[in-house]
Amino acid sequence: MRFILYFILSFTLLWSKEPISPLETIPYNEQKAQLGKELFSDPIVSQDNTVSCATCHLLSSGGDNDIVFSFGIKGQMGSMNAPTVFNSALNFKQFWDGRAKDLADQAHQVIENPVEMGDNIYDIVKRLRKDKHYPKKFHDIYQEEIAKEHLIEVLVEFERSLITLDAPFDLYLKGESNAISQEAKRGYELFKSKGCILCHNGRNIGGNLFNRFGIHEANNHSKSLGRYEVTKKEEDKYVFKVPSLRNIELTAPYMHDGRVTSLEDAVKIMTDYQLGREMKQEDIDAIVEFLKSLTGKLPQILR
Amino acid sequence: MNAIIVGRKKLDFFFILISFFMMMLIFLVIYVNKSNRDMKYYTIYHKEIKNLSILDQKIENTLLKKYRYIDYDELQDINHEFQSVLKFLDNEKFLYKFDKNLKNKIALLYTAYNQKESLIEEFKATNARPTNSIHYLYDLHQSIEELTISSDEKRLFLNIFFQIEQLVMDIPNDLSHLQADVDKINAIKQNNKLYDYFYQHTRLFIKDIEMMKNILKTNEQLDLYNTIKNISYELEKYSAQMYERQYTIFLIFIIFGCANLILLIVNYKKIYKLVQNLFTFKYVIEKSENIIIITDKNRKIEYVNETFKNTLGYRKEEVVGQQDSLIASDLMSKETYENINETLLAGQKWEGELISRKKDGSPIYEKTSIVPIINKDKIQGYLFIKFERMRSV
Repeated sequence: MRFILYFILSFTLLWSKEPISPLETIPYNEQKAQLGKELFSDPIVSQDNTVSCATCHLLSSGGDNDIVFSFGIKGQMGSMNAPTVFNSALNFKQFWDGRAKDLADQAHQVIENPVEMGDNIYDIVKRLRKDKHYPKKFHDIYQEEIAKEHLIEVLVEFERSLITLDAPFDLYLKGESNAISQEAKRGYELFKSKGCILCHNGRNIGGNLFNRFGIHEANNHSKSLGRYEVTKKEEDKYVFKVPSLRNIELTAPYMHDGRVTSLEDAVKIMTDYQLGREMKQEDIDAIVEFLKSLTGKLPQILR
Repeated sequence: MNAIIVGRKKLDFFFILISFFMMMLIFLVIYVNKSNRDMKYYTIYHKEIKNLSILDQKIENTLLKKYRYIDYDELQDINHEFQSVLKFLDNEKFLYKFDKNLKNKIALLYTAYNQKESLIEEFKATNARPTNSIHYLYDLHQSIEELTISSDEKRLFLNIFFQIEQLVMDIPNDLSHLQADVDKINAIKQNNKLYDYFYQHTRLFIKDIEMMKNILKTNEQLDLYNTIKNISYELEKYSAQMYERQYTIFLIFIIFGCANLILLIVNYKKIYKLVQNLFTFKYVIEKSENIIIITDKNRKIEYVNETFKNTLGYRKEEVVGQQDSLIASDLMSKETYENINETLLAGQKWEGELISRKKDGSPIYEKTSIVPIINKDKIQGYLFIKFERMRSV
């Protein structure tokens, strides 16, 4: 057992650098981001003009919506809980099953998904070209006729601007020891020592690996089998992208299938399913307190 | 002799040599420029290939850190860098420069990298689970004294702990023992949460450790490193060829340059001898009893010899640049002069007697022959040879 002690000790040494790092803005083009912002809330990007990006990713409340599965065109229901658009530029892959390698790929797939926007990107480009004011705005940026690359690029630039800076916990990491409560600090220690940190780490506190949902037998409220849908490998069944925990207080319901709405329940599910251990109620409360300190400020572009 | 033909081929040899030399110089400048650019491209490209090799090594280092906490952001950054380097290498500007097969090789690199990337994803997921189990087992071990379990069960627990330690330390051991112990836990767990968690962790640990072994084994068989090495090797081969080619080109240039120089020296010697001869002839002409005039094609005087000066009383400076009609007189009929003009323009020699005027106005009777000087079928000038008849009479 001494070995494991050494092992844990070596962990602590490795953690001389904190396993979570504060967010920093990533460079983006302001003009393109502003146009992207406009398009983000415009249903012109969906086939029947009823759904915009902002239908599922509400910019005023955490960058996602508060329903289990979102509705696309013609009232069709999706099969996964909509993740937040905030800080999504930092994710290593996009979608719960990681089928998009970056934001541009993600935007393209949503637009053409029959359950979501159900559109063809070339049709949107045609519609945009006929619009009253978009052609001028695009021309001001690109000096040429609207193309699909431009449409995708302005949306991506907008998403790159959606970094939620200065969460109390980030301020704490930067040295403001009073930025979070004692309870939250205890929650952070538990978060590290109980094993949550093994998957939820880095800038985005998650969003940089896949992992299997649950150590128990398959337990899934969604039609999707996760990563398996992409790789078709048996061991990838119920494997999903580990989501970011930033702004988690605002992004209920939780899990890929949106099964719970309270943060406390989410932590309980995770301790049972992922950590595979029992945790005292007071520890759960402390972790919830820590998670609440991860809510950052609304990005500059939305203020 | 109807005309003097000058401009023999031998003289042009000099121009051939010089223009050949100039051409070689121009070629050399272009070649140096091109090989300089090639070298620059090669350096950049090779640097990036080396960069890939370093990134691959970084990934390998991370794979060594199994069952430990890993900063996945760092891996993500390595991934991004790898992809951007790949994109940079997959550039038409370079692809056809070094090697026609390079495009295929870059495609191989993409394939190898994609395999590696999906293996890394598997590694990350597989690593997180046992690492978490180690956390759990540590906590459980700490509190084992507080648990209300029989001493047999406690021994079973400790046995499993020890075997898992061995696995983590890569000590070869028989998994079937561990599996048997874990099955015992399964048999006694019933609905007890503690036993169930313990069972799930240990069961999955065995599974994941097997998976991890497979992942690392697959990784050893991946081609990424060899593909990078291969491209690097091919590039180095190309650069060696490039140096070889440059060396050959410079050698050829030096050999040709020396040959050229030798031929130029031989040529110079010949011309020098010719010039010597010309000096002798010029002396002869200067001192000749005959009056000699050379004009250009418009019959403007270019040269007169001493006898001209002495006989007609003009100084050389006075006549050079003047028309030959300077010394014509009205004592001859117009027809005579017209006849001269026609004959000469036809490229023919004219011979006859003329009366000209000296500078002081006195007439002079001369036997004259005028010969056109023809260079490359064109009249380049005229040679007048006059002989004062009075003196001979």
